[in-house]
Amino acid sequence: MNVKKQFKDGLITNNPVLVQLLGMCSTMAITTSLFNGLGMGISVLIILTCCNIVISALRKIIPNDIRIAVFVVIIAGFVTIVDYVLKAYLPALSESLGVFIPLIVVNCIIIGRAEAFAAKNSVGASALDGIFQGLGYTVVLTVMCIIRELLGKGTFGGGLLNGGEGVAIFGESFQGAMLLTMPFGGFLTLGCLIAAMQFALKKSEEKKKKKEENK
Amino acid sequence: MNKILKLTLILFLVSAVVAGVLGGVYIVTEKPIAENNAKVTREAYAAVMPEGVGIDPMNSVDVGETVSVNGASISLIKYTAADDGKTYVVEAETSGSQGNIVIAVGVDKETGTCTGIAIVSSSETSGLGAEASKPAFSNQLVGADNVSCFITKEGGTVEAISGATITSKAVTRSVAAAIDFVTNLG
Amino acid sequence: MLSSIITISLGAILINNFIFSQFLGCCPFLGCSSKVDTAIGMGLAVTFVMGLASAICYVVNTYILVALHLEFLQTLAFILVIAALVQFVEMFLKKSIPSLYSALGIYLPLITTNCAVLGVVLLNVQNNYNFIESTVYGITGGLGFLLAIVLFASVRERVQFAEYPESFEGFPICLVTASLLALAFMGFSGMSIPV
Repeated sequence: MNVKKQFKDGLITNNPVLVQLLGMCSTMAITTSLFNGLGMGISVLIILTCCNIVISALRKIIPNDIRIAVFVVIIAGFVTIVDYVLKAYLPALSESLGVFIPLIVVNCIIIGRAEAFAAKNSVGASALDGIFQGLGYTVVLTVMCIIRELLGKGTFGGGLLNGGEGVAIFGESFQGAMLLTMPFGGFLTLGCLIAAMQFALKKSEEKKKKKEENK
Repeated sequence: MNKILKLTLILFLVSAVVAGVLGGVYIVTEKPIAENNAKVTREAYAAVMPEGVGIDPMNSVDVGETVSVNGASISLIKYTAADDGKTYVVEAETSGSQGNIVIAVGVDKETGTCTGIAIVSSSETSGLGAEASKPAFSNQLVGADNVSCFITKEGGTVEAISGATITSKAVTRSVAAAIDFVTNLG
Repeated sequence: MLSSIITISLGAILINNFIFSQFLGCCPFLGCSSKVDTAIGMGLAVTFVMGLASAICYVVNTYILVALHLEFLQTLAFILVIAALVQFVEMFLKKSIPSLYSALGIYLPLITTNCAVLGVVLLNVQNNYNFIESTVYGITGGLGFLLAIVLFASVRERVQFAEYPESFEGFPICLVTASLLALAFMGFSGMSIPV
């Protein structure tokens, strides 16, 4: 396992959301402003990395029969810690993400990576896996937020820039298609993003094939 | 049987360790969380008061009453009297388009008009609750009475937030309920 | 009392549908909806577990966690209750109703990580529902999930025969389909229920 490959896996070729199709609920639910997306992405990144480290360190002690239960307990522990820390020091984010913070417990990315990677690999590799997969998730969330916010409200950086209002890109009078910040927009934006990803992966594969043929 | 006992013991141990750690985190964060909540309430209350009027959220009186306005049920949680003796703040909870919204409504008892609104908490994921606290919407409610505080579709004078009619309805109905409640206070 | 139950039921099934308005339970919704039969199985299993989990977690929360001031263990306790409950339901069905077990069997373990189940329990606490309201919210939330997944599966069966751009193959076209269904469900959000 080299670092470069893990990095590429997490961000592109094995992206948790766009390729592994994990953690869809939060991806669609909270991506309405840049602040939400970054906050959620970084929370998941921290929890994922911590869980991967702990689970990987304990992987030889945990009996195989109850490993899922132990994983869930460890994950729930870290999620609750993040939940309380956010409530105490970033109440605005905690308020706007609401029930989706405790729901990180059942975010399939975390249990999925614990089972597929951390339970089999060394602590160092698992930590890196957590960071890169978390980054991949954060990038997708951020892109979703930017698209939905821009088309839905006509702003950029809602909750962060310009005193929380976001910078109006199309001028103050732009009304925006509020529909995109509704559930409809969540499904549609993610669908188009995954389609774009499939298109890109296919194109790069074709290119590789052509290269090989030319050789 | 021995094996099951061993597995249970391990799971129990892990849970106990996690619970212990969480207890520690809880003790550390308890105070900042309580302070944050108090601060949010204080700021919301201050925002709905006319300028120069002080109010202490600690003096609140619990209500626990549910009223129906235009078919929507609104629960009045508590009210607080301001220092000037004629302005009151009512906290009301109602359901918006995706979750519950708690708003603080300032009401002038003598004129029966709203002095301002602020969102105390909102569980609407798409940030619709936040839209309602923006001045473009909330300023329309300042000075409104229990007839004009509705949105235009329901016979009032308030322009609904575009694309968020349901949230606008929920907020304006809460305001009407709060005004009625305060004007009937003994 | 009755009116609040009707309000909660209609809200959970149509107006605030778990999938189309709250995004809870999207993973099994997208994963188990390629055929109507499996969708019905999954929907029923989820409804059953959501109802039971709501009732049990209410008791655990009120009489253990809140009574002992251990609210910070909520997430941990709830997920353990749900995992144990799913395991128990699986064993019970296997022994006593094998026909139902063979129909639902493979979906049961998946329910532990269904965020609709944990979501409904957390929302019960957030909304301060009492025992009956919590249970009703759990069951009707599950019925809303059932309705959504069955509708979606029947649309998906047709979509297979449609022509769409190659890149939309698989998940993307499903998500676009789901977005149109979500749009349809938005119509319900204008409903207000008289009390």
